Amino acid sequence: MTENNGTIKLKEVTKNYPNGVAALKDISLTVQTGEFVYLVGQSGAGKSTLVKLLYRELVPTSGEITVNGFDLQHLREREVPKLRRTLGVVFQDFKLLPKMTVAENVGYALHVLGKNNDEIRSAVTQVLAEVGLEAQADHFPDELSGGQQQRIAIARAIVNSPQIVIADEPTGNLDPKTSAGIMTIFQRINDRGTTVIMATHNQQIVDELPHRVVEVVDGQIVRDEEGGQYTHELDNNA
Amino acid sequence: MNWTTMRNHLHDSFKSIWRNGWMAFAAISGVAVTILLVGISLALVFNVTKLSHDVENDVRVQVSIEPKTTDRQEAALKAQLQKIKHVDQVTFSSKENELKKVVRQYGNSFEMFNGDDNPLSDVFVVRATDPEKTVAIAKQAKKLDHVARANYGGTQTKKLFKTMNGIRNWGMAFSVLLLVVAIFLIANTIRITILSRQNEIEIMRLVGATRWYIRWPFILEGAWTGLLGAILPLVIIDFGYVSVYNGVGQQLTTSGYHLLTPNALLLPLNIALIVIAMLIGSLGAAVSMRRFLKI
Ligand SMILES: Nc1ncnc2c1ncn2[C@@H]1O[C@H](COP(=O)(O)OP(=O)(O)O)[C@@H](O)[C@H]1O
Ligand SMILES: [Mg+2]
Repeated sequence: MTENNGTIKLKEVTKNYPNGVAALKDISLTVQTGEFVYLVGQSGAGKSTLVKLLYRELVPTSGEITVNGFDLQHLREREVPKLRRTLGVVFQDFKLLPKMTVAENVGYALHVLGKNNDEIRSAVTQVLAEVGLEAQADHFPDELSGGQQQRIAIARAIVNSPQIVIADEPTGNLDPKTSAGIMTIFQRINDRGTTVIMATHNQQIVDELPHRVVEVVDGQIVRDEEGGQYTHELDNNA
Repeated sequence: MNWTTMRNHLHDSFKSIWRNGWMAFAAISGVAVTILLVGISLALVFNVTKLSHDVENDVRVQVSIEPKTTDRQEAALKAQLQKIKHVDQVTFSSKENELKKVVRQYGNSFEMFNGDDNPLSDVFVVRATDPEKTVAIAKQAKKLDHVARANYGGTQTKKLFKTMNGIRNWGMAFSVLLLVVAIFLIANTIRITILSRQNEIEIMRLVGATRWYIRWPFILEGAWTGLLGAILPLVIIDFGYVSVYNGVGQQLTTSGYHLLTPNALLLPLNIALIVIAMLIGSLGAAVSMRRFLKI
């Protein structure tokens, strides 16, 4: 499994929802360790569906998926937590617990894995420093700005040192300046060798921080471009 | 699972019983009524089993002698009784002696029958070589001259069994019904807890908490609800049994049969009931988790 850490592989993946919507059609995609990949495309294109397949929130209708060396077709329900411990997931709506402080929200991720308080304290202190929230450790989420709340969520996602960080519209609720700050943090995480895969329809962040772009339209990959822009150059010219 | 984790689960589970307020109260009451009934039924089952055993092992046949039988005739009767197959021993007990037993059993008001007013008769207590022979011996004894009645195996106790069995059967049937109600009531409180902790559950799943880690607090909450529900019925059953034992039990003792002593019955019964209560609770939690905990 070690040599596959940080890799994602989809082979001919199709996902139909029970209501008949064909969200993904025959998708193949390979992401190497340490890559930074944007999944772009309009609302409804299938980005979130693809992301949910990666952390095994959904199972594909057909096709093969390997994430961090886990063969998701053959992953048993009770082994899903093992997969998730190697991933960090960040969402548009932060998903923080309002009754817990910043430090508790971040520590929660280790707490539920049965880590002891000393381990948790030191890991939380370190990771809050990384996202620039040391001073807010004892605040509650709703005392902080949207950007700060998203940093808490990122801190929680990386506190267990995942090999892959998955983000679904992480800047969706944030203004452009705050978004840029959030992107800096993702870049730092990626600089340490962690694979980052980010679904977004935010043109600004993709264009300002160029990385590999995978464009999804109507459930299919129509473009896979290293160092690409949000929109295809030919489209721009046209 | 380490100690900190355990402690947090315990804390969470208690907190939500408190938070669920009257729902939890309804569930606890449901368990209480159920446990009371199950407890009474079980106490009956154990005692009926015990008494049946006593009766089955009873080798005595009580042969009442007709009044006005002469000493000579009695002696002849005794000899005839001794000749019946499988008879081991025949002992005489005068009607005065029999009255003493009744007085001991039912109280001093029977003293007034002393002397010539004594309505009882002299008896021969016939002991069989083995308990299965008592029926045949009683039949043969009845045919002999000067015999009024021949009773075996606690004829009276058998009547008591009928009543006890009736109570037990109805109790059991009703218990099953209540069991379902109690499970449903607990499932309902757990549902509230699950729904109120939806966000937490989502995050736990996301960061890789095991399914059992997520389930434990709900199982525990169910189990505690069951345990809390068991307290009152256990107190009632324990005190109740001691007074029943001191009352009815005393009467039975004089007829040669014995209820289970409180010492022998109550410890295992209490343990069984606590286990049942906690199982009801956990089952309720399981029912709710199946429906509402999508993990
Ligand atoms: N749970 C669901 N059940 C049925 N259809 C869904 C569900 N989730 C998403 N879809 C549909 O699948 C398609 C892709 O959705 P999604 O993956 O959320 O796209 P995106 O994240 O790119 O906006 C859309 O047509 C959407 O309506
Ligand atoms: Mg989406």
